[in-house]
Amino acid sequence: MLAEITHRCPVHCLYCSNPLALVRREDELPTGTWLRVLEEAAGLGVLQVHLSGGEPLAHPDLGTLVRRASDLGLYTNLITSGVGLGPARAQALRDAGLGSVQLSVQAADKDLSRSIAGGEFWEHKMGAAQHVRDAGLPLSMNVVLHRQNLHQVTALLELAAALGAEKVELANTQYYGWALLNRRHLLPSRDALLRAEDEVARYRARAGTAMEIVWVIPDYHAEFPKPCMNGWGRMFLTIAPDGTALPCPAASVIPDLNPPSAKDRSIRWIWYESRTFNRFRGFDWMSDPCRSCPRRFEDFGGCRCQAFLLAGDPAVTDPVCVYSPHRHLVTEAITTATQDAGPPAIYRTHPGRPA
Amino acid sequence: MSDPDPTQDGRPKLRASVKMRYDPVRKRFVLLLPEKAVLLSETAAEILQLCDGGSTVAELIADLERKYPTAELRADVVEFLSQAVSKRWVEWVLPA
Repeated sequence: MLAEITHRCPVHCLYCSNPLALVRREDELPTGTWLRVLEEAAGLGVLQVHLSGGEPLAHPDLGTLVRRASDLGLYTNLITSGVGLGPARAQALRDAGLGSVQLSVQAADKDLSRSIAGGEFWEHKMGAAQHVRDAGLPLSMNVVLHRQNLHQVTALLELAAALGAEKVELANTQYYGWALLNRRHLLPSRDALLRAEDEVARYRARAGTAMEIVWVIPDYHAEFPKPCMNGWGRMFLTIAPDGTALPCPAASVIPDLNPPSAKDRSIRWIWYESRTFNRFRGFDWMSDPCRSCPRRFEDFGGCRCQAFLLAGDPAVTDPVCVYSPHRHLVTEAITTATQDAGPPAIYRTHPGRPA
Repeated sequence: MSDPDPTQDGRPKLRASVKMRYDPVRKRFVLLLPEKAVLLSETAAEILQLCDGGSTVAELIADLERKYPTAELRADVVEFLSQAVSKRWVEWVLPA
């Protein structure tokens, strides 16, 4: 389960995957409701909770939530920008039972980090990594990759190793939310991607297996779509800051989804009974080419949000697929982005705060 | 220079980032790692429960053989443990 406990965030990343319309502070779920959600999720068989946002450290009751999740036997992972993670907070979260920390890093140096994150966050991140390690918590470093930082892949891997990360996730940008808005500035050329993949392979050969390296494929450049969420309503559940329950963190973009809310429904009801979670579950909703394709058991038709965002219909084959009649939309996006970036990129803005 | 053979002298230990518990919903032991959960077989759970960093592999096998006196376990346990190490479930605590 992904628990997006707040959309508040100090950082302005160009590639932010949160929806364009963020939940305001006054609409956030009360902590008491989150505690009930955690309890119901554990009872349903959820094993892992990713506490995310926005920036989860911006939530004053984060420690209480970690404690409850941990008491319930849930493995808790904090997904954070690192801003606000001092030594005392890291220790307190460890003592509350936090399992691991995933720290986002935008670039391998301060200047590029500023240019992608839209502010002076570099020192905070480097400090946070140290505090996580000092607290004895396993650290993984997550880098969202795109045209502006792909050339730094080796330096990013070296940085992760120097920070003592057990794992580094090189996640090529997925185009949802704010990232879709800035797609022309983020989509890399195939050549840049191949060079980066080659650098990762060479680093792996040189550095061995001491640090786990995960390469999240750039799906616009793939032949077949990603198995988004490992299938709709199959093993993954997101609760947005206002309690909206979604099968995928980006799914609020699908216009007629009418997702249920954890405010007035149990997690069990949401998972088994709600129309939203059943809508693209299994294979019956599919039309061709997915319906008769043997790959449907591997990729589940790809991403419903991407099908809607690119082709205007969440029930069609993910346009990334070479068999999709909409594949040309993806090819055209790559061509456009690599020829002309258009107007300047826009930093993520937050409601009620100046850009 | 030759490294000590962990399958002789090493004491296997679940890594600090790994937690094992019984899941009453699935009625199975599960291994929880950062961003990963593994449903364990009964045998795997039994071996991993002994990976406390205190017993050597030989002691661990002796423990299991007392429980399952008919089985020849050594090769399977060593193979399982080396896979558990490469999957980052377990690390070797070597004698100083």
